[in-house]
Amino acid sequence: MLKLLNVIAKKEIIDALRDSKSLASALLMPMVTAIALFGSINLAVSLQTPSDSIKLPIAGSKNAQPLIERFAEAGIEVVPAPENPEQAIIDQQWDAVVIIPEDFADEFRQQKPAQIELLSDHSRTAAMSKIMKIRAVIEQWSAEIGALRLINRNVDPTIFRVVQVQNINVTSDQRVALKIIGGLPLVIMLTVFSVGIGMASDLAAGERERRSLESLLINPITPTTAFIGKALATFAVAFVISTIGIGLQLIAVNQAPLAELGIRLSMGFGTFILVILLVLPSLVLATAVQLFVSFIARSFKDAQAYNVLVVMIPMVPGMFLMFNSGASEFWQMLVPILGTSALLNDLLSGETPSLLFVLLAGLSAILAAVIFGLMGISFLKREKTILQ
Amino acid sequence: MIEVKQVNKVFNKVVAVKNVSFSAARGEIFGLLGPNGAGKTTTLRMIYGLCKPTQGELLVDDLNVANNTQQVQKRMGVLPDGGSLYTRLTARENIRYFGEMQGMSRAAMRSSIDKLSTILDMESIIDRRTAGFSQGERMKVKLARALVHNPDYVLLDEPTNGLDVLTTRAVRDLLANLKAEGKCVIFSSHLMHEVANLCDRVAIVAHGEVSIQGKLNEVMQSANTENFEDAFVHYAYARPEQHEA
Repeated sequence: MLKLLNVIAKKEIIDALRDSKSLASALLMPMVTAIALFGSINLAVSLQTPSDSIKLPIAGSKNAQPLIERFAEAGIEVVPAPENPEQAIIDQQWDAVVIIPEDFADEFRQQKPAQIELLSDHSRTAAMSKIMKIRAVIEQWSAEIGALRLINRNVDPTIFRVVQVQNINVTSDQRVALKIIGGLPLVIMLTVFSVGIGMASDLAAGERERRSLESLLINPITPTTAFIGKALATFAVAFVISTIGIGLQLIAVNQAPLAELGIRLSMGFGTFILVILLVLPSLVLATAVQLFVSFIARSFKDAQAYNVLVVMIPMVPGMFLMFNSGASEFWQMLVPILGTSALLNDLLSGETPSLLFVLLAGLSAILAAVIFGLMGISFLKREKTILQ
Repeated sequence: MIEVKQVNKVFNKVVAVKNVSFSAARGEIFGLLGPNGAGKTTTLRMIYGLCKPTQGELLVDDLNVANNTQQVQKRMGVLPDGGSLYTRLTARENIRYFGEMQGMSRAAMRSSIDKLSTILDMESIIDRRTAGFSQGERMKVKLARALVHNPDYVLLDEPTNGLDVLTTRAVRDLLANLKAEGKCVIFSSHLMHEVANLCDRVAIVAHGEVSIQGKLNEVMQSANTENFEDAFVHYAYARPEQHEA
């Protein structure tokens, strides 16, 4: 049987490698996601990092000279305001403009709350970090002046503080980083579930459609051997393509400027190998499901359409984990795909998944693969399947 | 010896083959004839094990096909009705794939492919990918694929369909050679002159039943004609009724 499996798998691999269109489209998806990952991280980083120098137009800067000095200390360069500040913001010439009214100095002296207008466009998320910084400088200055006023009246300024919240971040840098690149585990699982589609559809549904299944099974091979041989070939090709794809995706993340956020992300060759080992059982499951679905489909087109739905399978646990992030739990390991997705989250967060969890997640995926494999084989044994 | 014994095949209450019996021995060419939908292909499929009979049994060298499918398939070379080649593989690779599945050694396969390639005049196309092959070229590759492992029993479903004169002649010579080598050939055809030229014995199937079987001259005598095509029309389109020539 081993020799026959080898014969079938070898033929299917040669056949698939010569199908340059399918091969290119299988490679395209992981490559595009790698580029998209790189681009989206760059975008996220640029949104979250305030640019080095902020230029802030202020109208009436002479009315609040100490505040202007405070802006300068905070690295914000004050420039004269445009004539029509509102229009300048709408025209996107400026992200924010501060207007200090004429009566600011009087109200300040009378120790009344003095008004300052901060004009900005709240729909421009890219400007939010700048505006937050400007607002923080103003509020800080206001709090300090307020405290001085209380001291002048012999009042302890701390009495003004009812609660002091201390932010203590207990997650690792890498988990924070994963929050930013939260889609990576899902992207990896999608890669695993999509790379084999073209090949599985061709060697199962295509064989039925071309009516070559009958010729194949006239030879002294059982439907079981035919199914396993084809599964081995699909797995081998899908393994190579997903390894390249996942490698590219990890390189994309490594090359992205996460360091600008002060986040250290170590995804070296070791992580890459571990990710590949972790997703292997899921790749076996993906192959079995795709082959089963492709044999059921009557034509190559139908098989591709059904298999696109199969790609949705890892989306469910992927989405679940995006909204329920945190360390993986025991029960998750018993659900195929969910377990692996959760462990991928752990691994990419810089945590070492427990061996028991890895084995359980692998076992549940393999078990599901065996069930789909057996269903595929029993379908292939039916006279109707072979002769239609 | 291939023995078909009182075989019935029912698909979803439709009787495709009804009480069919015949036998074909080594060293003879046996024609399985009948109009479209008569049950020829289903009968052949039961002989090569892809279809299980609802009733009756099929024996090849005394082996029951249903219980020894793989063993029987090793002794058989089959050209099924329809079917296609793997278009991204060359003609040689297509043939070799089947040889490998039959468990042939590399050396035996090489010499067998060379021999068949000469007989079927395929030297110029043997290392070309089969995409774009003409019907005749495809048929040659399929024939070579069926015969590569030098089987004792050869089952051919409409082997000369759509072939040009030269290829038809090559196939005819090939079948005569197989017979001379002591192989048993069963083939189905619509072309009565082919049958009259090649077959030692025939069975004519109509409505899933064998309406007559025997030597060609016996069938013609029984139908009171000297033309085999007339005899065929007489039995293939008559109401089902068993005749023994």
